[in-house]
Amino acid sequence: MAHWKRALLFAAPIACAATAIAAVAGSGHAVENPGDNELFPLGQKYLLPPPSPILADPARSWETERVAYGAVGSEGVLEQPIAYSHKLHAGELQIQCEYCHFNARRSKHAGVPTSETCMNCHKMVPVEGRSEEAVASLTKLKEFHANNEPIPWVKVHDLPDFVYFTHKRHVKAGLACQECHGQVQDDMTVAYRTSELTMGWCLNCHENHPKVDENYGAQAELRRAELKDCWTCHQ
Amino acid sequence: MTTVNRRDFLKVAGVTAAAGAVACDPRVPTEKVLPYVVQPEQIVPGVPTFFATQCNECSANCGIVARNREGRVVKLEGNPQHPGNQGRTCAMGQQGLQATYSPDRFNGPMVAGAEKSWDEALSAVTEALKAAQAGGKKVAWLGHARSGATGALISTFLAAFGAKPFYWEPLSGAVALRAATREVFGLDKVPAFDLASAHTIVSFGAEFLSTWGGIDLARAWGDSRDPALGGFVSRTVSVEPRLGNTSVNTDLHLAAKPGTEALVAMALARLVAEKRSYSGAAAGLVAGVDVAAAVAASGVSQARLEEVAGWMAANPSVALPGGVHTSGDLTNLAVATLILNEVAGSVGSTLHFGNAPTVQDWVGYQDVATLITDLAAGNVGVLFLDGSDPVYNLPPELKAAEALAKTTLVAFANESNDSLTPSAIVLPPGTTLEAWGDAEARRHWHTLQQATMMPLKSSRQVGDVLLQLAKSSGKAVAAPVAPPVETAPASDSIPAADSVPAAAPATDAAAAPVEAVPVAPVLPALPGLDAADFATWLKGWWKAMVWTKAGMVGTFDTFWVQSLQMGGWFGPEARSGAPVVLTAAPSVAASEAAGAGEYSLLLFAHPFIYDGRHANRPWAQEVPEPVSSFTWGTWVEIHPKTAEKLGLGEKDSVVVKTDQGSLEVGWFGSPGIREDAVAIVIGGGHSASGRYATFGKNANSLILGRADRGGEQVFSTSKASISKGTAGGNLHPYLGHMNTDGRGVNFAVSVKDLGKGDKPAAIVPMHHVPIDERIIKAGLTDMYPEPEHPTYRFALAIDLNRCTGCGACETACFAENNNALVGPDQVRKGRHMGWIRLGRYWETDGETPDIRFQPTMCQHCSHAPCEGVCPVLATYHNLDGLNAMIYNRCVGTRYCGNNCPYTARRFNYHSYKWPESFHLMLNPEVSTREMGVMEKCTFCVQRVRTAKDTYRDSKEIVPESALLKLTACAQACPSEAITFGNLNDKESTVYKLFQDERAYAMLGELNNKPGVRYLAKINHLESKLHGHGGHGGGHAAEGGDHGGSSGEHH
Repeated sequence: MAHWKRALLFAAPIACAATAIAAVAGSGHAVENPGDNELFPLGQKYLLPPPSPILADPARSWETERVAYGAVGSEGVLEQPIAYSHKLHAGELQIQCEYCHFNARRSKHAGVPTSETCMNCHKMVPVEGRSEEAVASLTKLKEFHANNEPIPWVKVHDLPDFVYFTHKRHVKAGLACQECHGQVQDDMTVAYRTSELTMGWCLNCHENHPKVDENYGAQAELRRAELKDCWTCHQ
Repeated sequence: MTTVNRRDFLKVAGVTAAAGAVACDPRVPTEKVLPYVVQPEQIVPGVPTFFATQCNECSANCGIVARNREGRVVKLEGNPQHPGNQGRTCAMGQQGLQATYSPDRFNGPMVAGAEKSWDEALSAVTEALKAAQAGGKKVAWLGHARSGATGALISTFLAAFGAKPFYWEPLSGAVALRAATREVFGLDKVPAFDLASAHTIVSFGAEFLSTWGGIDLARAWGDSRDPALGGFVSRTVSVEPRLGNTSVNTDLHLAAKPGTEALVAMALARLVAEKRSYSGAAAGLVAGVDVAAAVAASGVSQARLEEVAGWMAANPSVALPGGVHTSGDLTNLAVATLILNEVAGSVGSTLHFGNAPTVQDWVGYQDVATLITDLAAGNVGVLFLDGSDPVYNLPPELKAAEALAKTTLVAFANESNDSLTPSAIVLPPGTTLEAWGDAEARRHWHTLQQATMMPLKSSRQVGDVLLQLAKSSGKAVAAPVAPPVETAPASDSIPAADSVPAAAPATDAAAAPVEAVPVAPVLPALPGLDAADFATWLKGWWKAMVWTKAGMVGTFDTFWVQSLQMGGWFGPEARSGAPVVLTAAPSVAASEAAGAGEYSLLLFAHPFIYDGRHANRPWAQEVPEPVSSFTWGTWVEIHPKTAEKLGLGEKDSVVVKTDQGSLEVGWFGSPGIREDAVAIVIGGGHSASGRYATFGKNANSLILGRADRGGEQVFSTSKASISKGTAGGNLHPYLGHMNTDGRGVNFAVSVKDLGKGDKPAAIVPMHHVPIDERIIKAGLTDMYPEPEHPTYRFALAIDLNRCTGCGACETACFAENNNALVGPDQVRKGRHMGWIRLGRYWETDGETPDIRFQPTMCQHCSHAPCEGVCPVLATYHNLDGLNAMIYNRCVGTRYCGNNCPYTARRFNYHSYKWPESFHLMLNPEVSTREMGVMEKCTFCVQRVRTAKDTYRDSKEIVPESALLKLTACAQACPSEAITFGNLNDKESTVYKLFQDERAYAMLGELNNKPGVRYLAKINHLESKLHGHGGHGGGHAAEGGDHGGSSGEHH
């Protein structure tokens, strides 16, 4: 059983308990912060934990959260503004990853392609005669581009803000994109996560990945020690 | 709001702790990732882009480099190409960032308080200009200093209306110095000063390490004190009634009676002339000086004057005339100082006219007062206000607010200031980072200001507005005459264009012999007011004025691009002196303050807020003022004996009363001020200059307005009486102690003890703990093995002999590391979040004060006391020698903070928020911290990480050159006191500094093995042993009973 399911079993009754306690304690959870004032605003000081935005929003449930946050595998697919298929582009058309994710080798961010990059090809590719779905997607793309609007992609691989992660080092170490992002070219009509992106998952490679030996030879042990330093990833 | 009592809380706490972890997950599950539509060429997301530009925080216009991340500038750094600041920045320069992201910025142009479109606002100005011309009224301009193409445009525009700009830098004293230079040397300029080769630096109230001059003076001062550079350690002598931000670094303090500095200078001049057997042109000027009278009037002993004169006569020296910190007539003092320099043989060497500051168009108090009178009489149709704040800065008797109401005020202002009248037309010009411009703050030093980010608000740069106004009011005509091109020199040298012959040979190596002047066939024409826009004007002016100076090599376009990359074009100029033309001995009578009261009232500039213009930058208020260590507010400085007499407690307030008004403020007991004087800081207490500027009181409201004969303001014009107030001081110093209480955390050595042995006797490591020799020899001092540092052992060396206590490191740290802004209430509770505490230890006072600064940050100990006590391993020692702090592992027990002997750790008692638009300033490479988390200096680990990443590409170790100025503090330090590096590299500077005879570890006796070494300050005192606060000498080696660790904070 996936660990989220165990968590859910545990969470449900406690969530109820928390709600009940909140009712006992009064309508608000936050305690007024005596140091707070207009000039130097402070965050709220919580006596009890803050109300869950998940429980408060009728559109969200543990099911949607599971899919959005922690799910691994094809069931965790997020809805994207445009139904873009990695399978088609990277698989069938054999476009290199770094053609679109152009910063992967030089920046911490791999880079989400600009709509200009999409249009490099799509201004040549005819829309006529495509499936209804494809026409809809391409129309959307062209609309975004014509209106000079960025496409609001939903982040599939979202690391916490305190994590320092750089694509550059991983690409330069010779890792294949697929090691973390899965076989996008084979089966991802819409991108989803194949990795947990948890600290344990990261450390697993930082301790054991064969590339470390390959790249560092006699220095591999030292490099592994460095890779396990908290400040390698925590910022 | 229902309150929950403790018992109920405990009952539910256990349950909710678990619930909080699982059920009430506050994580926002999905984030959007927005790509560019079209990728901008220069930007790689995640990689900063650097733009060279200029700093406009004061009139020095240093070169800066703006670090732009994804379209926002997140940090300002010094431009290494600029010959003045050479890569360094001061505290004010760092604050420049906050101008752009200020929450109080205007959204767009306004007319009479209502937001308007640019067309409407500009047509309102055009109407006013036309009406002024039709009605025969004047057009006037009052603003901060501008020069270069921007200055030329302003002058040309105003000339079309028969006016000229008034550039007013109220506290600088430059107008007095210009008047004096005209009087003594017949030149309409001010000299530049070279401190690096001066053995004796005599400052008459010149804040040369803070707000007076540029920050190149701080570096030069540091160089002059470095025995490794010139083989000497300079002496600083200060002649002023109190110890200010610069003079706390003095070796000899001659606390002359207020108003008598000029007399002291003339007496010194006479004594120096005698000792040097001076027979030059100024001999007649000093022959008749009555030294005994000066001694009697100033209260400075003749023996001291003889001593200083002896130093000045024996070796190169320089004397500096001051600005606001001078208590007498500034012009008198400047004349006396120039004569002193002349007889000491400094003119042409340490005082020279090469690359001199350009202050031709500056005006002093006299002209501004005349303008106010004109305004009050209704003679001025339109007044352009460019940054100046006359209502705040002028004495109340001028009634500037009423006068301004009688004109159409056109203000180039991004934020409100006290002078904006209700009917003012506000034209936001954009900040330094958003607008184009340039400056020539010193002759031939042309800096370029390029826009480094998109404007956050609707703004138009001043140049564009003026050109549009010229068009709309029918003044857009081409430049009438051929450009007044100076002799076009060879590309790398500029001849001295002064009409006077050089009095002394040039000493600057940079001043190469003048080469043959190439004949320029066609000189480019100057732009006219018909220029299409400011970009055209700027490039046209640079083509005509700067490219020609640079020898017109290559094409102008290449030159322009190069200049943009370098931050400008900088031409050297030979140092030249000038012959004395003054024939009659000047009258430098002591100036007397007027009014009732037994104390002379002195004003002084806040080192960060300056004349009040930076009051709305919270960093200027939050970073403690180094001497008093106060944050947020105005205080009066009085002598501790005066405080005792009044029976003042630490939290009492003091009422300062003059004939002009009274203020009730907190107080600081400074042993450095004369007992018959009180001093009050300028900078706080604005009425309408933004949310942070309201703290404190306006000191300008206490004084009587008076100009001296050079037209400069005299600041100490009033007598004051003081009494204990009732409101309470409401101030709290960041540092609780005046000195180290003999705890031996800060050492100084006498220059006489240097170079004699391994360590000067004053620096005795482990002197508190008498350890048996045998234990040391057996290597049994450590219970735990030394941690391994296979590649790097990052370390800082801080030369306290160079540290001036300027606060640049503290401010740079705030900017780099997203340190929270907590405000006065939290500071008072000891919750300041600055990672560097600037220790200020007042070890001895009197005539030879020994005041030491000590920037104290996390010492990154190899055997760190904080690490062992962390129950969750949130802090640990890493392989690079860094004491790491993992925020999201921290549970907030605060054990580490309690166990740190340096009190280097800061705890987040709250989640501090950044007000709207300050959040855009945050450095994306550094996590913001939340309530319940401990934080501290990381040695800028994000910069370390970036450097390692860069060099890992080629599998290299980060070299010395990339590490020297890596941390934000080391990078900013104007006097180059802070050096970063890798101790494993035995060739590195930091390793060598660690081995220096003056190097010591703070609280080294604790055996923490810190990664920071301080180099003891060098003083000129006789005593050999100065490790122990104020006790003179004699017991460093005894060990003594100084138990306990330092706890001057929290």
